[in-house]
Amino acid sequence: MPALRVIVAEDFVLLREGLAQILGRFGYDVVAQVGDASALLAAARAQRPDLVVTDVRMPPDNTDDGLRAAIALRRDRPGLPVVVLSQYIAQTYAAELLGSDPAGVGYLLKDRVLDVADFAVAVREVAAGGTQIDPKVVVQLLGRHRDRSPVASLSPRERQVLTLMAEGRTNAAIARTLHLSEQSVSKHIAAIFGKLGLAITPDDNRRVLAVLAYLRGTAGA
Amino acid sequence: MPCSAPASQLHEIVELAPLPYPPNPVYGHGMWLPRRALPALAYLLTGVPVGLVALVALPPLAVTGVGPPVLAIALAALERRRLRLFDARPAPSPHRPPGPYGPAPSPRRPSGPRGWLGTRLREAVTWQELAYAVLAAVALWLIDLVVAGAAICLTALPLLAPLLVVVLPAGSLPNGARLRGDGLIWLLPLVGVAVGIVMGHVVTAVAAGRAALVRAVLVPVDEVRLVELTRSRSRLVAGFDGERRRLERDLHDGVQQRLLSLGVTLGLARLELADQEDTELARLVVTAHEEAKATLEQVRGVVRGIHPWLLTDRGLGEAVADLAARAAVPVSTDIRIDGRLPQAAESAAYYVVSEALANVDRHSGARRAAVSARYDGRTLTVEIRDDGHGGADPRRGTGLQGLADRAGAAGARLLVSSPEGGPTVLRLEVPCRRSG
Repeated sequence: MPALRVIVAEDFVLLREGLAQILGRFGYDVVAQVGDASALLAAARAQRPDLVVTDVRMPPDNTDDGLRAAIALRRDRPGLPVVVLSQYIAQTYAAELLGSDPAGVGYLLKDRVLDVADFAVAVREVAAGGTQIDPKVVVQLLGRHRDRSPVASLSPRERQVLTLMAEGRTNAAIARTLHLSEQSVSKHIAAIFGKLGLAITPDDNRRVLAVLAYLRGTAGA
Repeated sequence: MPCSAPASQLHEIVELAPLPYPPNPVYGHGMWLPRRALPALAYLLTGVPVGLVALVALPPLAVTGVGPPVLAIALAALERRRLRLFDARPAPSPHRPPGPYGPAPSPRRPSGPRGWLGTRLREAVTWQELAYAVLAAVALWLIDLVVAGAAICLTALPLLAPLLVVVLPAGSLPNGARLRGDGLIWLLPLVGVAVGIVMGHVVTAVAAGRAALVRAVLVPVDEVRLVELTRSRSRLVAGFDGERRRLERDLHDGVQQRLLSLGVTLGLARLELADQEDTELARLVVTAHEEAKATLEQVRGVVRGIHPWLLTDRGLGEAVADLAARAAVPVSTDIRIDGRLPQAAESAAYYVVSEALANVDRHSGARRAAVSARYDGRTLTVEIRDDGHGGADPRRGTGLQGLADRAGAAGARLLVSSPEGGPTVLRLEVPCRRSG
């Protein structure tokens, strides 16, 4: 299988090179490195990449240019995997990016890049059409609905499991993280789905999407 | 939960409406008469000679050119002193003081009487004083005379009627004999008392109007200074806001990115050393890497405290929603603002919501809170309500006073209602207009 072709957009040169280095080390072909949103749009048109990794705050406006560029790119090419890195977590950014189709979307705190191996896993998930939302966003979403049933009815343990599920972790990974057996994780998940009224599907990705859709759907209510 | 409190339940922490002094208390009532009806009468009576002086002196002085303004300045000084008869609040001169605080003498602005006159003639308030002198000459003294005279005569005549009828020779009063014969004469003092009470109110009302006129025309200085004070405080706050934005940008563009790339490098190094985890080198790299992560986390917290980047990028609605999402208790939001508002207004509202929600977490014992915001084209109204135990006191250092000060600098009002037992409602009203 040929290496996936990636564009890296980040205005700070050292970090941009660091990102390219990480991606290179994990077998991606970094076809372009750009420092602002307009250059990202131009490069994406010229290169037709398989994946885009971009910062949120970039020139020309130095506000959320990178995010807007990512959304524009996905409008032109639905399903194009994008990983958006943000210095800060804002639910509103996550919601806009997820839009109507959360497949192939990553929204991560920039600090996650430091855990190089975990970051590489997250990028691979997104490139494969998965969804990666920073745990902080999920924690905020959960926090926001503490008062509302049915999320309010979750036990602390179920809450932890749901958070990890929303990050796209497998049952095995959740079990490892929480020092539980996989059977008890499955039991927790069944309980969560029961309480949230979600159908159980065998597909991990659809499971994440279901959780996110639920959280997003009630976020503005 | 409903998110609007009746205004009567709110009491104000600070108001920076241009009210230089508290309202004149003279109109408080005694048993029957306004408490200061007699000072009011004295105020009106002494107004008559002032007006007469102006009437007599102004026309001849007019031929000298500078005469009328000089007389007007003197009369105005007298009027400000005379105001004390009725209104105890200070009435300082609006003129620029001579001496070190006044304009420095220069070739174009000589010292001495000519310098004084030159300064005075350039002051707008001098011409206001002249206008007042003219008004006093043609109208005010007449009003004073009629009102005060009517009050005295209409009260004193019936009051003293029995005495007059007895003392004065018969026939000098119309109907005197008949009144005496009917015995009605002994009821007249009662009429006098009633008229006196009515006239007391009339005199006080007219005097209050006169005093308000004097204050408006001859004592404008404090409003000017207050407005200027508000402006300078606004500038100061805007200056701080600008500085904070710059600082946040510097930290974001500099420190945070450098720390990130340092962390990435250390992360890559850690990866290279993955197969030799037991070596001292690997341990050192792991320590350094963890340290970099912790530092980044800390810097992010600091930067968020310095300036709310989401406010700059997305405006009040999303920034408040973000604050609500971060709060320790569940916070519902109801923000109805289309588009962006002036930066100072957004910033003031953001900090009030931020501090209010922090107070909710720290002090209120609330289980939930609600934030609402409305903009009606002239005023941004933000209300924060919680179901805690209330009793928030601006004077007890709950941060409310600091918030009120900040709000005041943006020309806003901050109101709070926090009865013991709750709920606590904090309302901010920021007058602001959209530019463009």
